[in-house]
Amino acid sequence: MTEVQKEPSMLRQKDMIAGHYSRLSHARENNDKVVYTFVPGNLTELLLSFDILPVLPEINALQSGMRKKSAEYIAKAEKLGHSEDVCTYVKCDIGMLESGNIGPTGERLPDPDLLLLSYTGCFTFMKWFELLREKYHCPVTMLHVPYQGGGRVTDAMVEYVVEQLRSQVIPALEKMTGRKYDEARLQGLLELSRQAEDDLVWVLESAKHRPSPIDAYFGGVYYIGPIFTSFRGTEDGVAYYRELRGEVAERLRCGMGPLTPDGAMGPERYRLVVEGPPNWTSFREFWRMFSEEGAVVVASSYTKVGGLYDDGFRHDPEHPLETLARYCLGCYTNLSLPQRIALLERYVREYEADGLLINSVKSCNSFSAGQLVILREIETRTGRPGGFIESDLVDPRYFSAANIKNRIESYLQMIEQRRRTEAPA
Amino acid sequence: LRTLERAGCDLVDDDLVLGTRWLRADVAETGDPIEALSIAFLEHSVATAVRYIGDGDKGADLVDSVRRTGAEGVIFAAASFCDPALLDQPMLQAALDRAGIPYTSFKYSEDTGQFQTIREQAGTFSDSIKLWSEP
Repeated sequence: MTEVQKEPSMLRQKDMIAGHYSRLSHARENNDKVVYTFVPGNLTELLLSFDILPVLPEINALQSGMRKKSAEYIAKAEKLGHSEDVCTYVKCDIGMLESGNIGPTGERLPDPDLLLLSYTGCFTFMKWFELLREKYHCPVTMLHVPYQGGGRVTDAMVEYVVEQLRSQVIPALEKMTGRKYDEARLQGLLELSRQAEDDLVWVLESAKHRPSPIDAYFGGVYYIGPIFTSFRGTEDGVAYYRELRGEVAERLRCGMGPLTPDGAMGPERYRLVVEGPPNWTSFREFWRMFSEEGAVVVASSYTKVGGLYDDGFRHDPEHPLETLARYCLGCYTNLSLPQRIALLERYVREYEADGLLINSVKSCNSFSAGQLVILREIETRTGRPGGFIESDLVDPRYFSAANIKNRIESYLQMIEQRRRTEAPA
Repeated sequence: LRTLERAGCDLVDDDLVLGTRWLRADVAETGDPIEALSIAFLEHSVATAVRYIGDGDKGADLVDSVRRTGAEGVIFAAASFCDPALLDQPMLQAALDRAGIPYTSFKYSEDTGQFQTIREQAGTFSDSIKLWSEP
């Protein structure tokens, strides 16, 4: 295996994450309070305004997948009665908990003082925290975010979420920490979020250039790391995105393609939009199946699960609770099927993609339901071919490398064939 | 259901067609009707896998059902890939464990060829209750 190529921003992110997990491991001796919550609809700035440390179980699960620990954790959960059909993030998390709750840096994670159940379109989240409550015996505060069934955010929906923040979430955080809600502090953190979000969007939209200087799916999951987790609203987050933007700007200036773990990618031959989360257990191998073919992902839906910023939304310090509500309402998992289709169609057109490829994850109903409808609709609307592959988030039993590679190659051949038939005589 | 009965089980309670018996109390006929409906759904609806249980013991309603009907065991029959039901099961099973109530579980799909397996499993379960349960 070759040594992974890293840029300074990657090393910065690695240090940030290590520092966060180190703080978590010392949370009890430092009297830090800990809240477990979810990536979509996370209220990081609000938590940080109380000096609370967030833990995101999905991130722990995907990290376990990348560290080849998830198979063991899932097996443990299944032995405890969890079905093989359900979300593998949940089973991985339960298995990790039952194995001593050792985090990705090898240090033990603290138990939660509170489970903040931000419900944004993924029903499994509710069951997940019901399960964790049984294990940790700690309080749960639910933030119910209405689904965008009608395809838009109404004022009533925003008011409903703000009211929950005022009457449920903030009082729970005040009670837990013994501190009063400090709106001025929250506003300062939201201003930092806005700055980082500007740079993130610039980075993601750099993929509109040819060649794209980034891969907006495989590379994209690293780019969203800080802003989707514990670093939105922090100076570290701002510094990371400023540095990342500088690196991407330099690649753009030099006409370079994305940097992959194996080094600089070769010539760009295919531009794809990808829908669905990636597989984490064979992440590098999965990426290589694309990069070796010269296929670059120019836009993806997965990089919008923790916030959709490229439609113009930014956290607004002037309206702190309302902006948190609008953020939660706008996460990708909270969008209706027609909205998802419209977003992906826009990506295919604006990023001049050759087509839409769906990675359908066996155990993720939140993404997988309706994906075949999405595929056919995008093909019809754009006239560009769609592809469909299947894998799983963190269960290695459902990553069939040969089968997936065959399907990707067939899909790229289909694009090639389409180009030949459409080329002017 | 016929397969379970052929396996020796008498079904004394179930959670089928829950939509027709969702509310356990009459909706208040006075006051704001929207508020009355909201309270009915939030506070007087059946505890199911699709309802978030914010407070209280998970599985308490299932244990109550067993006690009320005199059931000797519980069969969990969930549809494949039904996340709410399947994620609920470990919590409900833990409640049954605490109450000392035997149970078994299987998944079903649209493949009708699985009935023989279900019958064997349910038959073994009912036999085990007959043979080893305390009177």
